[in-house]
Amino acid sequence: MRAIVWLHEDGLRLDDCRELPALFVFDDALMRRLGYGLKRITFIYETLVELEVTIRRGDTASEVQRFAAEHGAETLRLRPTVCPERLAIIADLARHFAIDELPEPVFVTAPERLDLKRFSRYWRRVGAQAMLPTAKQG
Amino acid sequence: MTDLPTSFADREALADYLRQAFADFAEGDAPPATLPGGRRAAEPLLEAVDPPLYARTRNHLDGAVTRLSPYLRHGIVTLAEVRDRALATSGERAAKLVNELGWRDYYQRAHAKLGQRVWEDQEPSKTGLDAADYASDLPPEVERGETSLACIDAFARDLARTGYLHNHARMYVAAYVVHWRRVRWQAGAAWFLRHLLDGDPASNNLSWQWVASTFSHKPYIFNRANLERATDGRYCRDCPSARDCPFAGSYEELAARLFPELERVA
Repeated sequence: MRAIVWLHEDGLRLDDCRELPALFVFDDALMRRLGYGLKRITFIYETLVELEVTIRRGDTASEVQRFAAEHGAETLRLRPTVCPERLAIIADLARHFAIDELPEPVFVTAPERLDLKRFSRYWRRVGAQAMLPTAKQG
Repeated sequence: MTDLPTSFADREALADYLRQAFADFAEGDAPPATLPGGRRAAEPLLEAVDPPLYARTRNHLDGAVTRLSPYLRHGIVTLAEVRDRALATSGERAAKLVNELGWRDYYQRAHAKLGQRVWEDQEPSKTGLDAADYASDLPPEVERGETSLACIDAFARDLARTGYLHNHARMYVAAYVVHWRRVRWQAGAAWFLRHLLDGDPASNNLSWQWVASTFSHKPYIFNRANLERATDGRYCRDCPSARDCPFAGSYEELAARLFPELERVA
């Protein structure tokens, strides 16, 4: 199945998917909601120029769909995100595409029921593991 | 839809283009003096990471902090990668740096669980004050850097110009906004997110809540002696408010002044 990469600002790198067509969308409405200014736009834009990806401006979901259609792609590759606004867009796009989340290098593998009420509790569980190099993470 | 340009003579040409194309997002007249985006710009910062020196000096505003946060926040560099390099060069002496990397991982996990609730108090505040005691909006003179407090004003202007502040400067400003000015932490968090290149509701909002005490056991405050130590007194020397500094005093005196209700309960 043909794939494209949808790059978003929670994961601005290509690494293992350099050979695929990749798109970034500057979405004015979303940037306003997230409170972005020109400094942030400049930082992101410089990163994209270096990555040599396609940059467009408009509604994210519509532009991703248009770009995918241009490349006859049915799969979207993307980096994980915890941004609620972006997760909503991904849920929307998942109605049209197979979503293939790219694996992140592991910082720590957290146990299923991790107590996040305080950093100290989190660190008691994962601190020793964090001192192992990625190659030795489970 | 046409593609946006991806080829520019230099950084200045790119900045000129963006100033016009994204004029609606301009943040004032001063040209931004930000860290450059991209992996190539992150490389020398990665090379320069010195974990033992970081551990010794990071609380000083001139300390050997990494400035990798904008690159980490945007996934240009990963936590795992910085950790691996630090372990390779410094072994166990990388522990403090790895611990600080852990904060970002922790906040990301918390955000994944909380979603938009990162904008809500996670717990009742421990200041003895009610939500109604806090103003909704940031006073404009704070945002403009015109409070007559040399330290806070310098931090506010640095934030707007560079999109970066040392972690301790962030904590000082947040404590000032929430505890000295009694402004809701959300107003300060939104201000920071508008400017910080590494701005992320996870680390940003939950750190503001940590200062406010809605995500910690007690409110974070600082005093003048602490700030002078971390800055070699550079702001206090010419500060117009030096004789009447609201941060002067012991932690006990400041807490009594800022949180009178707690005294009454005790």
